[in-house]
Amino acid sequence: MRLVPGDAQGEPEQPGGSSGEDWLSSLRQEPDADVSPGQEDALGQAGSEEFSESETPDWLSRIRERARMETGAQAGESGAEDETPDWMSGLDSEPETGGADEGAASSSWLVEMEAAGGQADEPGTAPQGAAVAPSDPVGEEWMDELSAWRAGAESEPAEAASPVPGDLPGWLDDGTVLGEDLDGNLQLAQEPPESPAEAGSEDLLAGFAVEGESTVVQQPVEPDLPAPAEETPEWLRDFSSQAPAENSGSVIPLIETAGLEGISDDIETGVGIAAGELPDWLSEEGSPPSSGQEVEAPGEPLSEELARAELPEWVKEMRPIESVLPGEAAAVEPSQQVEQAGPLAGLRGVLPIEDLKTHYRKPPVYSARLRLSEKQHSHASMLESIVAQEAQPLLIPRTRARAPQVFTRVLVTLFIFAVLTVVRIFPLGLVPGALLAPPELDDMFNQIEQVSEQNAPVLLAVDYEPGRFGEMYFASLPVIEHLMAKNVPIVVLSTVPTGPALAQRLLQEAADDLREKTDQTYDPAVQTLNLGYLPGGTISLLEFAQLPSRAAPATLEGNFDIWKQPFLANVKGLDGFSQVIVLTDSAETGRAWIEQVKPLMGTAPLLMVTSAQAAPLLMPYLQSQQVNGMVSGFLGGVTYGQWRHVDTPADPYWESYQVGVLLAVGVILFGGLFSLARVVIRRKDGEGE
Amino acid sequence: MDIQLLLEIAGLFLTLVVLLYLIFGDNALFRLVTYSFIGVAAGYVAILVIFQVLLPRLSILLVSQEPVLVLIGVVEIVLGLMLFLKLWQHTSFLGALPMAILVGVGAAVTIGGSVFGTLFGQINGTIGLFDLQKGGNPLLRLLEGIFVLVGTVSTLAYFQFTMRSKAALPEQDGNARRSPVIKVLAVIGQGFIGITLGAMFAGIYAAAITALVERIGFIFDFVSRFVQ
Repeated sequence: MRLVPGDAQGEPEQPGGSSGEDWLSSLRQEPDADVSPGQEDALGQAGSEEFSESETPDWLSRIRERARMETGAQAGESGAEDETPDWMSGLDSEPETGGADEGAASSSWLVEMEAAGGQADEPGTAPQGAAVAPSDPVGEEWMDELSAWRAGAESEPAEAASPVPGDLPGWLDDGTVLGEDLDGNLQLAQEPPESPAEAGSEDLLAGFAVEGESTVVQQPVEPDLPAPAEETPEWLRDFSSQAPAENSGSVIPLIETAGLEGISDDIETGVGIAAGELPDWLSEEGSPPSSGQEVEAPGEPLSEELARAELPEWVKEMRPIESVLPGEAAAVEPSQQVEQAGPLAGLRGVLPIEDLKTHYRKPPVYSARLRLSEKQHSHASMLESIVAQEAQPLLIPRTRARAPQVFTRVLVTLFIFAVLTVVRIFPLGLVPGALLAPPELDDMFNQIEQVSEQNAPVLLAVDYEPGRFGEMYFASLPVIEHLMAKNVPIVVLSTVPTGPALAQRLLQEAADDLREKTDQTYDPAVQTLNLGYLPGGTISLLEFAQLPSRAAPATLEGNFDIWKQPFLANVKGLDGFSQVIVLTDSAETGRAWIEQVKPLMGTAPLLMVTSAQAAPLLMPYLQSQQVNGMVSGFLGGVTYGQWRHVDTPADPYWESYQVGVLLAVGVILFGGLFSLARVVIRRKDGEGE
Repeated sequence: MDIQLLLEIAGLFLTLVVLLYLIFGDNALFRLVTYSFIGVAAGYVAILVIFQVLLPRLSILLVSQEPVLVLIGVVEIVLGLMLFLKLWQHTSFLGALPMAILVGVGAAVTIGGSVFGTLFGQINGTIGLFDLQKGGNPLLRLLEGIFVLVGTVSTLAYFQFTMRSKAALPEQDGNARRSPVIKVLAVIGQGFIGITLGAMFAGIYAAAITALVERIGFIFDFVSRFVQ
């Protein structure tokens, strides 16, 4: 309840009569000129705001005058004094305070209001809780009906804003007793009001008072209500037309309270406490079922005005079975059930505990133990053992320290280096020269011995890397010197890019060594021809074997007329060469010459000077007669020189070479014996343990 | 100063730096010498290819009066340029044709040479060992032939890893095994393979010790000449 403006201190707002006083205070207020007539307030303020100065009915004006008078009288007495009239103060007072005096005062006011009700214009609007007092006979009729309805109305909602008995003014209590039962629910006495006007006014006020407190009914606000001056409002007509009959069940009661013994049938039949507040659709509802009755199925239409939605077929199919089974009593909606026991007894819409007990039960307890098959169990145990192995600490093997390895390597290197240097500096003469010559060396010697200067030139293929120059120099120099001693023209070719340069150096040194030893002159610039580098690897060898002039058209110096020179004039193919001597340090290169060139050489022999590392892999070709002679490594060069009975550049290094090889043999033997002994000792220790 | 002396001094320095690898392992000077050798070799090869391969061959083909040779020259130039474009990602697809030609021709030449040069030649040579009338002591020749034949067959049997279905059934320990005959031959073949590998190792060591001896002799000769 709001206080009337001007009440300075103001009474605390009473929950019981707050809404009634609001509308009443608003009625007392002068209308605001800016407020449009159409504006309404929700609860009780519409009356003062919607009436303009010209439309203010007489009864309302009298109310305002009285308010002014009361306000002026009270303001002179005390600023802090409550200006609320008696009947309103009765509303503000404690529940214990009696309302008899206020009831008398309010009664007189109501009488005046009712007397002037016929002169007042029908506002026409009847918002819920609006303080509209009909001033015409028609209005009196509806007020009478309202009061009559109210007399038979059920009790107020007993929720939080339930009106406390005693808070209502006395005039409102006249004829009606708001009592409480043991459950604290409001009850309406069955005693009808004494006078229609009074009853109507009481009904009106009570309705407004209750409405402000009740939170059950939420009625839509209609801004513009019809204002038939001489006609009962339609909504009220509906109420009146649907005067509740006993047990008609046309209106669903707002509240069903259990344990209320004094509730009349009218209450159960359920005309709303404030019939004006109920919308048409609610007012047209059938009487609510009693506690024993059942509510209609939810699927039934609530109002004729509401068009039933046309559900598609598939939605209809989804409808619960219970809703379509004929003859089966529909379950009472929880919202329609009235709680029978407990602290919520008498309330509607409480969730049924019994249903909850049946609907919700303790969930089944499932066993946490898995059901495993034997195979799954074996797999799981296997996986567990694998995982357990991961958790086990691994034995870190002892790592040997690196320092001893470095020391050993350095020691061995220095030892070998020292031995070779000493032997080179101080030759001991303990190691004799090569005495045995392998058969392939003999064959090569014989083949070269058969070549003369009148024969065709010899093709010399220099196909070794610069890193093997030392060994190949010692192995090939005697052979080249032998050729130069024969004055055989030599044509040099190379499939290695660095081969032409190596060949130049080899020929020059061989010529110089031959001149020093035998005083024989051999001019490499005249008697040798360097065809340079032959690109393409194996493919170029095949091309050269088929047509040498096309594969190697020019010399290393860029001379394109070499194939027209005398000693190459008769060379049309490889068979035009008297011999082919291949100097190589790689078994693959030697194999390429054997596979690609030898088949096209005809009767010309293929001779090879190889490194010691390639000789074992090229030996099968020697035994298959695909290679006609071979000199391999440092030993082969020294031996070839001994066969020619000439000194070779390799002779000073022969003793160092032999000592180095013997040293390697000794180290390998010693290392093998040492390892064997250690193994034997460890085994013995292991057996002893 | 004599160029030859400078070259010998440079050779001595490089030799000593390389020999330091035996004592100190991989070091900066060794890497310097290695990189220098690679660079010099690459430069020399580039010059050699340009002036001795490309220019002479192309000039001969292009200036030739024979149209066939000219056409061959043009084709060679085009294929070479297409192969050169393989350096860039966007044009690398053009190098697929010359690469295919190189790979295909190289494979054909290699396979043909291996079959006719090595396979047939070795088979013929092994068979020829049993030619007792060729010369020498027939018994020794026969034994030599048998020895070579057994070594060849056993070495090939060592690399035999296929089995029949019945023999492939796992035994008690779950491992599939070969037939007993193959097993015996494989063991013998292991011996021959071991001997071959040993001979190869000996040849490699001999080549290495020869290189070391030659380098030590070079150092000794230079120092002695320098001292004298």
